[in-house]
Amino acid sequence: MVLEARGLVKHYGSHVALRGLDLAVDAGEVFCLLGANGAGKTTTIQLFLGFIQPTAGSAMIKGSEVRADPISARRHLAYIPENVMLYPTLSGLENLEYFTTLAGVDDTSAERLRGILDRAGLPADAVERPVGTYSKGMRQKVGIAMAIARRAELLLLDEPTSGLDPKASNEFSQLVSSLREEGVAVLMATHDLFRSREVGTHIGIMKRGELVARLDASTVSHTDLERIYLEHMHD
Amino acid sequence: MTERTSIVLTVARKELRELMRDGRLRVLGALVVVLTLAALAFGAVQTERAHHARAHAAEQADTQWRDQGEKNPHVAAHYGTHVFAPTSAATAIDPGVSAHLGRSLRIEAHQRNLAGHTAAADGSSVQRMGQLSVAAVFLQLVPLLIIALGYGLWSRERERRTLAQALSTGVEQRALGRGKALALATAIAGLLAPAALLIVGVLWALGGGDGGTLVRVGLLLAGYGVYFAIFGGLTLYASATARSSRAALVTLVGVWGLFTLVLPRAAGELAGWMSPLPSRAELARDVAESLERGLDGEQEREAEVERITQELMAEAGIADAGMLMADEMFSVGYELRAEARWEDMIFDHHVRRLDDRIAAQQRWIAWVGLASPYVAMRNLSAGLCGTDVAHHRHFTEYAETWRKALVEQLNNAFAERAGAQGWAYKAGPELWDEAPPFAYAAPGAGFALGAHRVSLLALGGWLLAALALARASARRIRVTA
Repeated sequence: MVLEARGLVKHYGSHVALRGLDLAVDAGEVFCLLGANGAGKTTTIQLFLGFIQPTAGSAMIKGSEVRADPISARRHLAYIPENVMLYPTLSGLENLEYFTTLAGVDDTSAERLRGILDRAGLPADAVERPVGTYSKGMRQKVGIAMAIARRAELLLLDEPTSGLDPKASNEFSQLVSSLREEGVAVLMATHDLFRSREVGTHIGIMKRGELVARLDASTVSHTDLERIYLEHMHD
Repeated sequence: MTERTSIVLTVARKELRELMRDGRLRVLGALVVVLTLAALAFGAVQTERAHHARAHAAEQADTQWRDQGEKNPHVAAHYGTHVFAPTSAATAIDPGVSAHLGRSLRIEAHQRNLAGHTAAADGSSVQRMGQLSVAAVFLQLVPLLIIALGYGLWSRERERRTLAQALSTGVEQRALGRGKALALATAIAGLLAPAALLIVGVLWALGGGDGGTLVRVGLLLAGYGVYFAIFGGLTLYASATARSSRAALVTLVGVWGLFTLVLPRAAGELAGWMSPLPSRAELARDVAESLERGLDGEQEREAEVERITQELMAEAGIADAGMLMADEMFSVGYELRAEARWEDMIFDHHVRRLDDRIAAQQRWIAWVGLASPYVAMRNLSAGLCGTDVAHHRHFTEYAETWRKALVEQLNNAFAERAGAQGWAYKAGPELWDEAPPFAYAAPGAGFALGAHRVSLLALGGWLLAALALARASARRIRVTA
């Protein structure tokens, strides 16, 4: 397994954000976490990033505990949050060069990085422009370019299409799907039922820190997914 | 190049790019550089003027001494002269307390010049703010520049959430911290290195190209490097630990105010309270009383002078002092020497006591340096530029020794050559030419370092603490405050 959660528990004081989460994502799989705000989706992503520590249980990437060695764990993954945050005075190319160098990528030549930005769908005339002038969709594409440039084995996506227009959202989904086909494992937290059905191989519905339903995206229709989701939300 | 080194350089390059592009470095840097250059030009002009004025005055004093005509040697001792401390080229960088203490002394019989022995010569930082000098810019404005450039290095990354993006790459926080520190150091060094070269050039032009001055300037620049590193470390620490960029900025400006405005003032007050100095009037009254009644208030001036006169005659091998004393005119030279010894003993006692109190004040101020790197660096800076109290005391002690030697020589000449002429005896230019040369040489850099051991200790301690805090905060930084 590329990613695995075993009995993951997270408390914030008296608030319980995760209650013994178990899940696994293998190479070439996209696991979509659906749920309302506060369900524990972002907490799960943050635990795999090693930005917070679990109260109990373990978050593992490529068989190693994230808590034990978060830096090594992060070397396998790329992270795309709801808003990919970049340095506004640097260009898209400079941002990409910076983050890929931090990730220890050997080839950070401008030629290679331009090709990757092109594949991610960033317009050629935007590559040298300061990121401060970019739309949200363009920033998300730079985020995808980071994942491609790093040849990440795992993508952690936290509401990556939230606020994108349908066209940009569709382009983003296609990029995620192409990466899945290349064998990348993806854990995506989202509110978007349609998008999760479209790009996901597995869907989990989270409620109050628990995974209350697990679905095979290939066997569930959009209508059924919406019904199941709403049933759980109204319990 | 290792991967870690490459990452550190990449981070530093990125930070410098951001600093350049958002305009802060250009605007603030230009401001500080212009002020530094203006201060240097002002200091150089002042130093050059002072140097010429001193040379002219010294020449005049020498001419007046040699051309004073024929007169009694003791009258010549009263006529007196002036001596001048050499104007160090480094004064152009840091005038220190020299403006308060003066650089010349009047030399005459029966009088020890007490002009330099005034109240706690710390010079408040507020006073110094009004003085445009390279030292004032380095001590007060460059730390503000460091704060302005560095307060957001961590906190802004956290607020923009670029920190989470960066850490998600698997980069070590320590490498990020080193890169940020390198960027801050490069920005400051890039701005000030040309100024430092210019300083050396100007000092050279002002006649400070000798090895001693260059060693002092080298140590001074190293000292300022340490001082800036302290503020850099504290800035990185505050940026990493504050809840927001605004909180980091407010905290750092508050600390700057504490270091450069509050504590120096408090140091002066503390020094004055712990080691109070007599007023000029009190000192004059005490000296006058001691001259008449001795240090214990039990002696009589006339009896003591007579006792010393007899001792001097005995030392001179005049066996029958009583016979000589019968010739009043013949013995007056010995009486004058005895008077001078009596007065010197009284003056030495009071001046030593005063100097000890001033030294105690300086020690109290130096100890405050443990709480304020500004105070420590201000002391060290003036010391290395030769414009502190210790150098002034070094000069006045030499001048006093010379004064005694000159008066002694003149009184000896009176005693040995006047014979029966007594007060009618007159000496000429040949005696004035015999005056011992006033060949004061400023002490070396070792003297300055020795006089400011506590300040060196304080700066070393602050440097270690600031770097340790910056390092620890970089290792522990979280993506959320």
